[in-house]
Amino acid sequence: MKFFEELNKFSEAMVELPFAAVNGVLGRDGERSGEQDLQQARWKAYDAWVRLLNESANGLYASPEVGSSVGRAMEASLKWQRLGSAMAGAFFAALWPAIGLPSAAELTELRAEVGALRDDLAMARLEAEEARAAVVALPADERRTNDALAAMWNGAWQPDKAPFVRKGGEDAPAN
Amino acid sequence: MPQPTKQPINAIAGYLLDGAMRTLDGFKKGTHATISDPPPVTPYRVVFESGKLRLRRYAASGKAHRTPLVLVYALIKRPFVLDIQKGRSVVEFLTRAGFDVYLTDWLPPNASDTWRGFDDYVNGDLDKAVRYVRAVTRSAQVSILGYCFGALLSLVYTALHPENVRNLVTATTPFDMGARELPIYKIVDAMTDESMELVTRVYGNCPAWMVQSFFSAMAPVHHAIDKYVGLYRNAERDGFADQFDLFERWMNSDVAMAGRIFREMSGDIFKRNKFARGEFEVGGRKARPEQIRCSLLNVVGDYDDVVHPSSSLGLVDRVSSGDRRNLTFPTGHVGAMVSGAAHKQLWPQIGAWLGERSN
Repeated sequence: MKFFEELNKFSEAMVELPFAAVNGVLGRDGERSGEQDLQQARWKAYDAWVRLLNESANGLYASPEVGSSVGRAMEASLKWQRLGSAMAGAFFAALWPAIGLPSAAELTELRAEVGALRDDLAMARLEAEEARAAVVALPADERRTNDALAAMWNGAWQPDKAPFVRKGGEDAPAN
Repeated sequence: MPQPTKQPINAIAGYLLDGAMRTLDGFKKGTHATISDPPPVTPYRVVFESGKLRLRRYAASGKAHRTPLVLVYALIKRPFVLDIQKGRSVVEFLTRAGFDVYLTDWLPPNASDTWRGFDDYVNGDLDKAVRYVRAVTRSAQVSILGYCFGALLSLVYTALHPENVRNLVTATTPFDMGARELPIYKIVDAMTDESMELVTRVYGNCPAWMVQSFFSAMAPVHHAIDKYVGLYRNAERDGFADQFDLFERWMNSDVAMAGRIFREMSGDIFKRNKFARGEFEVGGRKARPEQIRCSLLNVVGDYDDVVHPSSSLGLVDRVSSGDRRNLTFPTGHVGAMVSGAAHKQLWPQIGAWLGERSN
């Protein structure tokens, strides 16, 4: 089991630590610094300890008893909170209107309305961008016709510029 | 008369200001407000907003690839981890590689957003963002790069709207939740559907502190002790303390999860593994991995302890794409985004893969 592997590594590191400490005290110049060895041994022990703690936490999570107790505790706490918020809601629902303030439900409704307006605006903007992109994608002739129709719609009608109006002396297009 | 040096006074003032800001952040956190983002590394412009989505545009430096890139971030923390520090910023890398990047900055849900589920996020906000990008860039299709939960959103989107996606990169994707390798899953398994329902009945949305508790419980020793010891051990390394600060800020930037998507995620995706089994229904339509036909690159961290590699690796065998592959790299879940090694070796590979398919 991984927990026991980590426990072994931690025990080994703990055994090494006093030796490294003695080396550190007796460390001489010219050799590898004893202080450095001690520091390394300290970190090795610390890392082994962290890994051991991690494995212990994993072992706890894996236990079905722990899982079900956490689940039950959470459910119970949520039920109590629900009761508490229902009571607080009933109290404040009567209090706010009495002092002339809107209730939480009214504020939520207002936020939803503002949100819906923002969505409408976003949709209009999106449709405008899509329409613009579609116009650019049209062939030049069609674009001219569209422009003329838009001009008619906006009251800026200029027959001589409209592509589909027959000018004097021109033949009607053959059908 | 000698003037008293201003340097120590400045240092003390800075120290006090820093402490005051931290205290303020602590208070803000206590009131469930989202902690503010650090200044961005790469400049951006918000180009579109819809529902719970704010779309940022980071312009490509130099000549841009023809297919724009939509970067889909997760719903559970702030996205600044993708643009956290010069030289370690995914966004910076991608813009330098010639991609016009559009990043989804998901806004935290409030009390009136409890009804938002996968349908609203994927078929609503994300689809509108993709339509917007296609319209303004005049591109028929986009490339999508999703990270973590964002990769799951990208997969569901691509399954439902395959015609809009040319290339898909999924990074550290929680795809097959049947692979129960992480010990914390045993605790989640013990939670009944009633408990999950109760969370949203009591709070409306799943509160940010609950999301954070789940992540802390994944590595309790690391979060309680080891990361601080790590800071002490690496104190001499240049820039380590700053990186640690930024990273901590991100770790504490959890946002709430809208009630409905929390229930769908914990029940349908996590417990019943419906997406991998091809049974996940979004907005009345089945989203099956087999509906994905575009080029797919699936990035997997060998040491990922949030999404175990075995939850991601099977994705490539389930899609219908002809062009698909796994790209594994010896890194962790967040390391794939911020580590120096990932930016030296992993991201150039991702950039090259995308670049070849974006013109």
